[in-house]
Amino acid sequence: MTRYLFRRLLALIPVLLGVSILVFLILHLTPGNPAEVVAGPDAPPETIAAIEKELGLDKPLYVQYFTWISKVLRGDLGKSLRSKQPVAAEIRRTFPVTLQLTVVALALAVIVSIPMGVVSAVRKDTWVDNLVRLLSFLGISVPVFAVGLLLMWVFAYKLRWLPVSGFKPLTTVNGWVHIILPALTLGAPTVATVARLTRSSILETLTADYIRTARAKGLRGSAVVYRHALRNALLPVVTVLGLQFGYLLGGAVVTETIFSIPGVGRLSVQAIQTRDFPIVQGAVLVVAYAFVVINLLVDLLYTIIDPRIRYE
Amino acid sequence: MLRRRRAVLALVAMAVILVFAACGGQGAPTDVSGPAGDTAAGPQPGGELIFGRNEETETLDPQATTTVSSAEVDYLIYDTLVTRDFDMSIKPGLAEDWNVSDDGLVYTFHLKPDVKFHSGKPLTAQDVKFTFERWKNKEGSPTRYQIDAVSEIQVVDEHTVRFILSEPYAIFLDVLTGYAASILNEEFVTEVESRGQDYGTSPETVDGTGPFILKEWIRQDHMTLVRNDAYTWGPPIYENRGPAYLERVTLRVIPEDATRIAELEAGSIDFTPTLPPVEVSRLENVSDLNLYRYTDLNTQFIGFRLSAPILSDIRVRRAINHAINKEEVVEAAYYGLAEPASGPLAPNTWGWWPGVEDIQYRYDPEKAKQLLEEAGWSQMDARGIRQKDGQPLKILLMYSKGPTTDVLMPLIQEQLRQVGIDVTLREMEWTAYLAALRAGEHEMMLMGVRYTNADILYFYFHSKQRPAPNRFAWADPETDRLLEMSRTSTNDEERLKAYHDVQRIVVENAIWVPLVHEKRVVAAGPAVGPLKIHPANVLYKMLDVYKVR
Repeated sequence: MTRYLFRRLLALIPVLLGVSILVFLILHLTPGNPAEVVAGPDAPPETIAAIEKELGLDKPLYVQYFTWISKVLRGDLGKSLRSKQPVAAEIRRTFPVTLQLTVVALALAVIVSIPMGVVSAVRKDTWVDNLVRLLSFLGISVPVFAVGLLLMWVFAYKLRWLPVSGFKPLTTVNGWVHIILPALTLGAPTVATVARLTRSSILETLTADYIRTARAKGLRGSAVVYRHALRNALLPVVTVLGLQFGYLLGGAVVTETIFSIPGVGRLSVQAIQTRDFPIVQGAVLVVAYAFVVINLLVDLLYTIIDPRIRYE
Repeated sequence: MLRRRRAVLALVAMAVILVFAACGGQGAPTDVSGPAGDTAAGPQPGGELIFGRNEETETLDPQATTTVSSAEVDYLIYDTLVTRDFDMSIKPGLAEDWNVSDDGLVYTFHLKPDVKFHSGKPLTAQDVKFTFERWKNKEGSPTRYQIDAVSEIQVVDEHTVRFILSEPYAIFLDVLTGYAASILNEEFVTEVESRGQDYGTSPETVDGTGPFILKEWIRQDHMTLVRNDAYTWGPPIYENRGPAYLERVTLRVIPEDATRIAELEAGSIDFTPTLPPVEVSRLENVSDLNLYRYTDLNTQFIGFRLSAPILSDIRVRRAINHAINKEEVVEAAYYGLAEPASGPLAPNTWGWWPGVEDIQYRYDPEKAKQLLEEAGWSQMDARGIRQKDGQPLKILLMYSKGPTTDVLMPLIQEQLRQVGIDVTLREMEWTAYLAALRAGEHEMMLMGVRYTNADILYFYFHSKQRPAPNRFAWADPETDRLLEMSRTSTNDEERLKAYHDVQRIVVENAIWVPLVHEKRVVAAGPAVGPLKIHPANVLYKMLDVYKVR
């Protein structure tokens, strides 16, 4: 187990190095010059050249990469080309915000989706099942911005139950009030995915031999479902939840924009638009790191859910 | 629903800026706010204004940015030597008066006494000298070129400062009104920078003399400014010279238009300076918001790259000018919130030439077809696209997405299609767009430009400014000579003549299709007293802004 963990952690290094090279190349080969953004559309040619020099963008690409990566290895992610804020500070400010949003969204999604899936599977082909399937279908197919604006319109604008937008830390009641709509918006596709997955996974498990055995020895229906079927059916669900966590972390951009939440998604999108290279590179590295670590944690979680799985 | 509308013509002066205040209200008549000076209660001190905007301030180092979202805060935190009045004329700021030598090379400013920075340090001539030397020597400053003409700055005495120019620079005072010319505290900046910190990035690294003090800055979320109670040196363009009425200004970043408008209607923000045209008529009819229309100096245009083979023929460029129906553009793409443009400058610019009205290309598709025929584009293919020597009349039009482009671009494509031109539209992301234009990948390009004076002609048409912002490959010695004269001449009549001639050249040579001059609309909630919109920056120093309840 320890050796497995060590191997997995060691594998992080080439992954992150690869990510760093990829994101660096993609950014620098994409048309668009950060100096031009800083200077604005009406600046004379000399000004752009001067700013390029100031920002070190006049050097060859490999020199720029090695300058950057050698600093990163020493723990210095650099400074934003535009706001001059240290990248590490920007990420420290925005990443916890996205993390809070993601965790709440995922928690809401789990609380709602797994019971939905179970009920839907147990009451297969009844009106409950049909309703769940309809909701899942909507959750997957309606785009996030539409869900977000719709929820905002109903609960914040018409009913005035909740605030329209903004973010407050979750240590306050106000913070929880503010995060409900964005978390629902962000979690909606996950609810749909997980509910469907839970449903099909349980249906599949219910046909297994050991379930027939359980029924045959006279166990009650609910005990069969919850004690035997659900536990086995959850394995693929956990895998998907782990992946979803990663996607939500990186994919909260739209939700963050609609609800004006100062998270890492908005930080990176704005940085991409203005070609603020150090910010994009830093944010992608951190999100990639989180993604890989979460996957590792999910793999470890398997051993708890399914004692048959062991890592050597 | 009781509804009132009033429009007030606020200002007519040397440059005519029209500010329309349309005020709508619901409920009892006493709730209805009227135009400026007409409200029963009058200005009330106290209260907080929550300002909703779509973009975060980049930095509060005024010399390091070109964005509106930085400028609008700079005007609140800092002061400038001279200020711009609502009619765009130049008025005193931190300098109570000034004089200019006859040769236009020496400017002497007398500073107001008793001005203090937020940190408590009194303002001296040395701070002014420091500010401009820092700006001039700042390698990464995107606006540094604005003071290229300044060769030396002298401290005459504690409250007198002198600028020596290397050549006359007619728009020097205009430059001094800009946010980039905000006066900094020498001791403070030096101390911050000696600690290795970047000036203007947090409340601890900002110091100015302005009516508001930066208290808190949480990026991408909000910025809080509090009133500077010691402020009494406001510019004479305001009745209230300070302190400001508002106790606190909170600037919230809400990037999504729909969210910002919902926040405004829900009453959780008081003001937004950016409304998409498509929302304006709905907001006017359903809510108790006050909408203010105003016209700043701007021109939306299609530029031709003259080195593109097809467009090197002036007849083609003129034909395109004749083929575009600007009235239709105004109605369909701008929902009426624009005026058709005849030349490169808006009519309320000092230096605008009335002659453009006579020589402009009016909508005349028949004339357009005739010009294309003359240029040899006389055969038609099966789709009705013109051809010459087997080559189709196909032109690339590049643009970056804006609030109007979804309607505007297909409309222009269709209008040109009517005379047999096949326009290929290419939408690009803004930064990539700028890069493509610099590389000369365009044939036609759409852009909007905002300016504060006619010097914008120098930026866009001097041959030295190729490949950008002169993205038209326009190189003409006569234009260059006139533009240089417009900067260096100390004779206003001569400068006017130069500006007029450049506008004539631009229109005669059909370098652009001048499309429209946009009208801007800002919205304020019912708790905000009547506003007077400043043409250079909507709420400018906010000395006249107050809450009514």
